[in-house]
Amino acid sequence: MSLKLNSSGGGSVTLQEPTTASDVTLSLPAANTTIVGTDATQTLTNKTIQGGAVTSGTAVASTSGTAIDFTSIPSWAKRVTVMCSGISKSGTANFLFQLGDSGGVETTGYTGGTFAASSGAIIYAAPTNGFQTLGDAAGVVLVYGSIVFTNITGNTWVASGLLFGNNYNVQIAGEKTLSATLDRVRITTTNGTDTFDAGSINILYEG
Amino acid sequence: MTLTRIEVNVQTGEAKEIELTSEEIAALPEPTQPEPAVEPVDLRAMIETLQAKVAALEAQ
Repeated sequence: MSLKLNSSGGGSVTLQEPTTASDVTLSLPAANTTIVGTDATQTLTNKTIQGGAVTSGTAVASTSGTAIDFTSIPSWAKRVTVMCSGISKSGTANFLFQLGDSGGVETTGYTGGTFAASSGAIIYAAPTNGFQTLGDAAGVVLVYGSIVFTNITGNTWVASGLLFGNNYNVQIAGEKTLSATLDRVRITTTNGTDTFDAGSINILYEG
Repeated sequence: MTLTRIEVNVQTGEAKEIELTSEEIAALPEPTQPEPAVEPVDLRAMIETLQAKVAALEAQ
């Protein structure tokens, strides 16, 4: 049986039940809203797509500060990519990538290492306070590349990075288990006091 | 010198520069020595040296 609502404009709206042997429930939201119809063009308003979408953060100029934190990463994020475009810093420390949760950025418990290769030299480091680059020098050296953090299970994140700077090709791989759900990443330097002086940094996150 | 960090909220896009607290400054890593300069390696010369050694061994 259909339900017909007569319109003051002379027309009507009919609510027609489907042809089905099972019971179907149409749940309406407790809000003033518009149900999407079959128009050729539809606009989603105030809808959050969780999972399946790649969301870009806001690129920030890395020209000041000793660290750049990207915070409020949604709990449903399963992959976070940090992108560095021509970043530089004031001293000779290397760049350091760290993960964090609601308790703050975690500075211990990182596993993995970094290889940096140039023409004729290979250098290696295995820090436990983050994932770092190698071969950086002060001033005009610009570093390009990205590091990807992928959630393998629970609060454990696997890191995979490839960057270039100062004639070094830098490969980073490792793992970090956080004490809670990831909600932030930090880009800083291995001494924590060098200041950013060039380039820009942004992140992508996806569920 | 005042140490600061940039904090960017990825959901709102808001960015702000925050001065490091004394606790954060105390937690900074100990200063490390700069990495030693890396001397370029002449791979061709190394290969030629090794080839000469192998040839000498084979001649024995």
